[in-house]
Amino acid sequence: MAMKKIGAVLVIGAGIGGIQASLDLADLGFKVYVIDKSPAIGGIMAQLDKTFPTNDCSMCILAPKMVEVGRNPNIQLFSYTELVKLEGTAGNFIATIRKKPRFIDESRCKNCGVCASVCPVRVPDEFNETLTVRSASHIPFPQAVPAIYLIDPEACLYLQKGICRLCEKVCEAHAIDFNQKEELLTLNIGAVILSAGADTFNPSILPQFGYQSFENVITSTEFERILNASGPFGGHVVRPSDHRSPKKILWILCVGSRNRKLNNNYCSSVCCMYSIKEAVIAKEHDPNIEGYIAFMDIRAVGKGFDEYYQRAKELGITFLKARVSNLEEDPSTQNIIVSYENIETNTFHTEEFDLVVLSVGFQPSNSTRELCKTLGIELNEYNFCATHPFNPLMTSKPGIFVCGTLSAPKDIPETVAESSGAAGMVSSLLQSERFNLIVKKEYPPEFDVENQEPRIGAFICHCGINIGAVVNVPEVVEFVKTLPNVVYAEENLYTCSQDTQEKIKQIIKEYNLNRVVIASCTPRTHEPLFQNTIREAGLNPYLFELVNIREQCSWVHMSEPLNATEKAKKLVAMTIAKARLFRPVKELSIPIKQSGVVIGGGIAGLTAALELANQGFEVVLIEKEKELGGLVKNIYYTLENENPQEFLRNLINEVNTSEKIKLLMNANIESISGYIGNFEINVRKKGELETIQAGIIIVATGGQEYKPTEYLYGEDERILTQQDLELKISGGELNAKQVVMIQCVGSRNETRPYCSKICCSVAIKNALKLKSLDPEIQISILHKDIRTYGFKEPYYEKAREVGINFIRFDENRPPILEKHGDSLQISVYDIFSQKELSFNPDLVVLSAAFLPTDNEELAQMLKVPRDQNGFFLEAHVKLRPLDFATEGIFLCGAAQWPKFIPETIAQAKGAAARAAIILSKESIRVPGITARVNEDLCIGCGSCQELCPYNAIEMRYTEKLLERGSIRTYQAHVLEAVCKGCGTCVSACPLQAINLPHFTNTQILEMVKVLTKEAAK
Amino acid sequence: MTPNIVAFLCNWCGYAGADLAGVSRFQYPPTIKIIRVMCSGRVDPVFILRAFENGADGVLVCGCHINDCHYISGNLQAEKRVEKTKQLLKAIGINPDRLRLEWVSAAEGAKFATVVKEFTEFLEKIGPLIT
Amino acid sequence: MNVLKLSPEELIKYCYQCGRCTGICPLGEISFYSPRILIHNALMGKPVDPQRLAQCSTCDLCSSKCPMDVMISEFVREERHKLRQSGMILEEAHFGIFSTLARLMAKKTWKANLNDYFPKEIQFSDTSEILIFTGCMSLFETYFEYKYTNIAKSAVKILNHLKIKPQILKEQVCCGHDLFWGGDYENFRLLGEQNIELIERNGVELVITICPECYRTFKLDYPRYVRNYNFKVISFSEFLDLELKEGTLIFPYEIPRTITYQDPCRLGRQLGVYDAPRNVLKAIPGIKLKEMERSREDAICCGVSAWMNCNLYSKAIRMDRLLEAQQIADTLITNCPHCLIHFNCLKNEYAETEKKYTLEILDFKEFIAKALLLG
Repeated sequence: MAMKKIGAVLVIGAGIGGIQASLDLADLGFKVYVIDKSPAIGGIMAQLDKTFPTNDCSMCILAPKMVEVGRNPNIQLFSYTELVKLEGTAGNFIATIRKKPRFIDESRCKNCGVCASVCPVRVPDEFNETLTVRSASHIPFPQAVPAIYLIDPEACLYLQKGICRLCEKVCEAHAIDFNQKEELLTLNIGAVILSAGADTFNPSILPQFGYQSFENVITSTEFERILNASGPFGGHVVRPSDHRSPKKILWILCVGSRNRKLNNNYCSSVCCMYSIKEAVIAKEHDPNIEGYIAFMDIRAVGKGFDEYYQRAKELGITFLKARVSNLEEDPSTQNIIVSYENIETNTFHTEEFDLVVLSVGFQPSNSTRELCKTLGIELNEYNFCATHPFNPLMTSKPGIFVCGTLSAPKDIPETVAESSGAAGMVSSLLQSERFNLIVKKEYPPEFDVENQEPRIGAFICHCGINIGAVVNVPEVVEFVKTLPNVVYAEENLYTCSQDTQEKIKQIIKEYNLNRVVIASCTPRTHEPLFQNTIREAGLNPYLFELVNIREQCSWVHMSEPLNATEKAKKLVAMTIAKARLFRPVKELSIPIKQSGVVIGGGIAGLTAALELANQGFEVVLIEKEKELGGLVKNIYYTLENENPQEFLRNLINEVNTSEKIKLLMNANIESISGYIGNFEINVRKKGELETIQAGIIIVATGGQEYKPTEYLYGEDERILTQQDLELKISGGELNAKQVVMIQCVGSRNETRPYCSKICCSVAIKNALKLKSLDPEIQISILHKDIRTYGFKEPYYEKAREVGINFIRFDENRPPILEKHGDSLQISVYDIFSQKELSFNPDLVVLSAAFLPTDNEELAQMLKVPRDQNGFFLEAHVKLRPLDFATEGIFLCGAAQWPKFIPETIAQAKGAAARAAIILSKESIRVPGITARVNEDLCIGCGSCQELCPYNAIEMRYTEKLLERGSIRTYQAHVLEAVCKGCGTCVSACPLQAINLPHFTNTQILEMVKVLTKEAAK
Repeated sequence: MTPNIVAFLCNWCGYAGADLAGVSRFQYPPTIKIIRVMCSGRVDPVFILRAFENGADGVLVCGCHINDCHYISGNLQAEKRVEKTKQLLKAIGINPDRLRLEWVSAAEGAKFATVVKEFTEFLEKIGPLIT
Repeated sequence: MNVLKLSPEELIKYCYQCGRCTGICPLGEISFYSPRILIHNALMGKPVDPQRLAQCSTCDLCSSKCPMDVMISEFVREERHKLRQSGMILEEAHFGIFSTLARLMAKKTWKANLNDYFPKEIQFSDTSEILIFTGCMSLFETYFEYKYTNIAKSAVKILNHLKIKPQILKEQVCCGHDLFWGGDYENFRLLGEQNIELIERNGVELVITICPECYRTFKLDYPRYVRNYNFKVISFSEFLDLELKEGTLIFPYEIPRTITYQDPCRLGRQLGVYDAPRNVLKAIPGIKLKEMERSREDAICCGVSAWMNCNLYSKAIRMDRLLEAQQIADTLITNCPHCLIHFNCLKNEYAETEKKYTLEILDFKEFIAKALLLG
């Protein structure tokens, strides 16, 4: 019997990967259950201070996503929960999960923290890597989602010894429940996404690093917490032993990675960059700090990474090519004495550092291993989840997908891209069940309040004792009652409680309220709740505003109750003044053309098109060449010895046979107009012009190999690029005996300061291939660093094993290739041996830079940016790697950055999923707060258009009627689907012709007036 | 003398930083009253000037750090406008330091509290704008 | 000029509803704005439409044609004042920033400060009997991001070139013109008192203004609405004209350009200064000065004064005027910073294809400074 498919998904692990997958799945129309073994979601990213290479504040960019997971009605979050078992098959599984007791009632806890403040217990705080302490009753970190406390049963005096129960007495919300038991729940789901991540390596098992014995040897995660403003030392860089500012800090890379003894032969991919970042940020915090990084190879392979590395050098970070031999502690100073050989200078050093940071890599966690065992999923030799290079998001079991560091070490953007991709694969599998289990909230029709006198109701919250113990709430209520247009005011113990919501609705009806002001906590968490309540009472959600008298009043002026009360009054009065000017804001709905366009027919474009088709959407694939396949046409084997040609043939075949995909070959794009949901693309094909309408555009224009102008390329047939070489090998036309490969030809130089990412691995791939064809062949690879990140590292190892020579040269002393008569001569200064070497190769292979395709014109037509190296620039390098800032346009593959086939496939699937979120809907709602133009006032000067970061303003040339006659002029027009509502344009308009609803000039000036004029009285 | 400070905080960083100061119970003087805007790029020089005209002693604008703007580049506009407003203040004889622009991230609760404390002390020192 | 003799309220009684004003008004052509009807309504005791009051640019083209010498701009200003007294505020462009700044300056609780404004090489003398009054130039430059104006610096450079080191009052405040024409007499007086007191205190005999609005305000409005003072006021154009006649101002360099001159309403029609700037411009070798059809008494204004009523109507007037200038010249010389800002705003506005306006727009002072190679 065929099982019915279920439109629900279980996401296991809610780090950034699980969060992204959950949000995408919910947006794609599926019910999501997301579980995490921790009491709060966010994973490793929540602990990070900044992210490389943009130095973004990690929590700042993560927190909104966490809040969204907690808030989305179609995502059910089970924190502190583990999977017990999974039965069934792809499309219909039954999962059993175990929810551990928090001993705090989730529905009652108001996140006020009173329980923690009275708890007498202190135990090490895991979130701050045990550098601080916390109480038994605690919340992992202030921004935690869910924002609910829990009692650590191991630490709680009552649960351990039967005494105390102080928290129970002080909790006004009666949320403490010592009788809570663990719960077993079953969920019926159609698919599973595994995003359980990996652990960081625990250096305790390597005693030579002294992690356990020396106080001033810490891990990089601990250092992240030290850097963080909410960390153990408030962001002051001090060392653990004496809380003194360290002067010299040494980072030791590859701790627990690139280590055969531990069977961790892989590279952890992220440590080089995060260590550089930590050194840079530390120096930012305290310019006196000297940062040293002991490295083997700096693997700065991502977008902007190598530039970041260079900048760090300029900032004075010292890079030591060294593997530290020994660490000792000076018992008097607790400084760490480090011995190492500097390979670049061939000198031996014993040097004292105030602090040593161990840059620990990724390590599959025991619990994940157990999880995979429970699920019956294959692991690879390093105990990461096994995947196939051409199907990187699929586990060994149908219906179970994987993303993030569970399958390999990777950074945040790659994890995010994979997570979207995994969500897309689920979407293909469960396509028939889209929207079936999704709840769509219906609200009663809104009252028309446009011409009514404002009737404002105010609710002032005590928040237990959180507000009430400092702010005199009854006094505020009495004051509010005296303000004009306030027809009702009351105080609540908890305004957010369920019964108060009901009461608010009732009072709105009873008193005919048309505006509501609530004074309680922060709108960043509670605004949606109250907006929902007033919508249920028939009021437009923008007839409401929250006054924050907790986070920004009672909690920060605890010892000044009188002043805090006065301030609370002022804040409420200010908001009431604004409330008088509230106008309903209509959310807009934009129709979507439910088909897509993919530009570029390489594997990125082919995969993206196929994914969209599999998810049920029509796609037009535009390729400028006469053949599909792009760059992969030139790749005959991979490092892992897979056959990409066969894969490409199958892919093209699938695309060719898909009824949903229309191919436009030899086609040139002439113009692109429109916006999300409604693009129009004019394509010329053999002189004929075709206009395509599409809801989304995916850019997959790929890249190309640089044709070197260096090293006599093109002047001698024995000098090839890696691509030339591969073609020759596959044609069987090589019989060289002595091969020299030169890395970084055309990249990591002044013209192209970036690392082309793939060339090291490609060189090793071709070298291994040559060796396998002729074991006698001599191969030397001349390099600056060998950047075989992740699971490419073992191939570097293998290359050495089979006798390939690696010669490191100084970036300021590149190899020299000369032709003497008929013989080629390469001379190079080898750092390892500190000797000038000379070769007379019969084949020279240049690892040439990776370039984007010629994309300038396309970028202009799409109005999307490119980075300084000509690759397309995504909306956000960390968390929106597949989107452009312009809504409805996506990117994937080498158009974004050089990458390997598996990465390209993951991105293409991810981009398709992001696009499918839009295409799956007939129309999309855009938030009502978008800039609005008053057409009577606008004179078309274009000041607003000039600075809109989203190109959301179009200047349209129109004829405008005057009282007598008419005038032809430009007119600003806001594309509501594109506008994000920042309001930056408003202040640019000389005529107040553009405004932002709910944040209008008049509203803000009214608020200013209340805070100042009346204050002066 | 208790200075009166009007603050414009962007929703994503400044306001979130102020929230974190609250959650962390970092204490600062109640001199500051916060007006929330979605982006610091929304802050108009006229808001600032009107605040001074009406008797504010100081105005604080907080946005996301450069490169962190939730709206890509709104904070750059804010920076430009605040700089411009400071020049205008100077030209008409108001101490431009009565206007402060601070980048406060969502993780910088302590910084926010310090900013308010320092700004308050500074305004106490130089005295009220309108005597 | 009757304006000094009778109050506007008395003057309008002479109106016999002939309609010459409305017929000549550039706004009358494209809108229902009618000075005649405004006056009629006022005489009938009917409320005056605030929008119509805001619409008037107070350029006085109408008054110059009025057979009964009714000063319509004065009447409009008085009506605005009444509106203001009743609590109604008329909208201003740029979100009212300039009147906000002016009101802040009117509060005498602090002193304005121009210390860092002028570059070091510009020379002043604290004891000079000649004062240069730079008005709000530094504010405009800051606000408009130095896009259009370099007027004050050019003016002082020219004076230095003529071996004059003028006094500058670093504590000067806005003349109050815009507040005055917006009907805010109270703050206008506060500003006027500050300026007069300051100038008198510093032993100044001659004030040179570089903005026609300051000139008008000092010359006509301070004596009537603030108080009389003991110094002389002259416009920069007139001053240069005198220097030219005395032979101290010489233009040694040839500037081959075809220019036309925009008469500012304050300087031209309201104060009768037409020839002085033209004399100076014509003295530059190589210059071809062409006159627009509507010039001198008939000049069409930039469409906006006191930052009021910048809208499609005033834009239509500006478009028309700029095209008129472009047909005959490659450079338009303005003599009021407001004209300069407004015409340049139009010139630089968004245009998807080619720019419609190609002529260069320069201020008189800047142009003269350039002609003297003063940078």
